[in-house]
Order: sequence, then C-alpha cells, then structure tokens
Amino acid sequence: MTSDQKIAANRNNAKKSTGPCSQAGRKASRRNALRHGLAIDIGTIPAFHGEIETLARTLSRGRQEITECAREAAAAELDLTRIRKIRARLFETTYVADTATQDGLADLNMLAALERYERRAFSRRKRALRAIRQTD
Amino acid sequence: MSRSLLAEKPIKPPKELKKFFDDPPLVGDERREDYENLFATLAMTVKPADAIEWMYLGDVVNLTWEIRRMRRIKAGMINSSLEKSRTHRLRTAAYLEELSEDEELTEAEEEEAEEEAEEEEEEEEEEEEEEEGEAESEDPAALLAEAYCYSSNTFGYIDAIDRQTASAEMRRNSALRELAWHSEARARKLDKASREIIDGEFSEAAE
Repeated sequence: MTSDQKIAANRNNAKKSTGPCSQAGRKASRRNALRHGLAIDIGTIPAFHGEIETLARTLSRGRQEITECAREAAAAELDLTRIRKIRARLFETTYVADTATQDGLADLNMLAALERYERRAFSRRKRALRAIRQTD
Repeated sequence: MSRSLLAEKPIKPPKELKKFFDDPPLVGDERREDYENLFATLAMTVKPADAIEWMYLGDVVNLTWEIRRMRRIKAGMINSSLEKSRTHRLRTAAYLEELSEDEELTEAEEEEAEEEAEEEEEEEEEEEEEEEGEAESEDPAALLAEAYCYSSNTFGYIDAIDRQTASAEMRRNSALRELAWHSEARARKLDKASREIIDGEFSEAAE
C-alpha cells in the first residue's frame, strides 16, 4: 500500500506539472491527441454547417421545416465522404507516394482499423434515413 | 475486345448531391474516367428515384471500386512473389552449374583441356534444353505454392488484404440491404450489376 509520505510527495510533484501556460503552448497542446480527426463529430465543425443544411433540405423533400433526422443523415453522409477521402489519402501516402514507409504491414492493419469510423457513420446515417422514410 | 459499359446517355445525380460524387477517393494511377464509367453504369442499372437511393448507390460504387482495388493488389503481390521465386530458382541453378563446371575443369587440366571444354559446351547445351523442357512441363500450382513459400513475408500482407476485402464486401452488402429496405427491386439490380463488375465481366471496368 502507498504510504502517506509518498502520496504527499506525488501531490506536491503534480502541482509542479500543470501543462503549458502560454497561449502558444496551450494552442499547440490542444492538438496533442489528434491523430487523424476521424472521431470528430462533423456537426460541431462550423465549416460544414452550410453543406449539412443544404443536404438536409434535399432530404426533407420540400417540407417547410428541416427535420432533425434529415440533419443527422446529412451530417453522417458528409462524414462518410470525408472518412473515405482521408482513408484514400492515407493509403496513397503509405503505399503509393515516394515517401511510403517501410513497415507496410503495420500501416495496412492501421488502415483496416480506421474502417470502424466508416461503419459508425454508416449506422448513424442508416438510422436517420429510415426515420425520414417512416415519416413520409 | 472491350465491351462498352454505357449504351444510353448517363443519368446524373441531382445538383444538391453532385458535390458528394465529384471528388472520388482514387489512389495511385487509378483513373477518374474509369471510376465515372463505373458510377454511370451502376446508376443506369438502378435509376435512383431520390436522394436516399443516390446515397446508397454512391456507397456501392465506392465499395465496388475498393474491392476491385484490393483484388488487384492481391494479384499483384502473388505475381511479384512468383517472379521472385522464378528468379531465385534460375540463380540457384546457374550457381550449381558454375560449381560443377569448376570441378570438371580442374580434372580436365590434368588430361586434354581443349577437348574437354568442347565436350562440356555440348553437354551444357543439352542440359539447358532439358531444364527448359522441365520448366515448361512444371505444374503451375506447384510453382505458385513455391512462390508463397519463398516469399513468407507476403503471407501477412495477403492476410491483411483479404481482411480488408472481406470488410469492404460486408459494407457493400450492408449498403445493399439498406437500399433493399427502401426499394428491393433496385437493390437486387444493383447487387447483380456490381457483382458482375467485380468479377470482371465488363472488360472496360476491369482495366
């Protein structure tokens, strides 16, 4: 069991490391956990709002109001398109480009792991599209 | 001779959806024209009625393309391995021949060198002819098996490619099931057309 003395020392040391303090440091560390950006909900990115609304209107088929299901389906569709492009780009840089890495097998397995994001977006869109059809 | 995929004027997606199909996820030397040809063929087969059906069509086109890409990569790997295996066999044979030649030459120096050399040349020619005959009559399956064994590193790659192909096929089937939920007849048509293209019935799409 950890002694009280050790716990106190750990707490004191933890106070010394509270991460970056400057604006630049905080800005840089904000992206520390970002690897490929595929897990980000596209609906939270303002740059995509316009496209989501346009597609949602098409899916709402001339109704006065754009339904939430249509927005959800539109966001998922945009997500699917984005994920496919990112995967293709990763494939390209891993195998086709001059900068292709040596550990091709590990990269191939990594690419396969990225498919889960596509499956997730597909399920989201599937549920939303079924809901739209049921309200027709 | 290549068979044309398109007999009629292609159907285009509604302009609100055009953006989603404008930038296909191509890799390496894949041609946009081929992708568009595949897209137009499947669109003509299904004739999507609304945005939802266009979306599922887009999924099936992308995944059909991906499955074909994976199959091409796998075939390329096997062919490359086969080539390496053949080169290895030829090099080994040449090395062994060289060794035996050296031994025979030291014996020949003791006797009449020139006569021996001439005889050896004749023998070599005969042996080469025999080897060529053997290579031609060799079982292709055995050669392929040897290629697999020779390049053991390929196993991992082929396994990974197979898994990715299976995953793309599963996703393609999911898209078809969903399309069937919306329109069964269209899903059936799309399934048939997509399978035919994957299996390379249309030579134009297969290139």
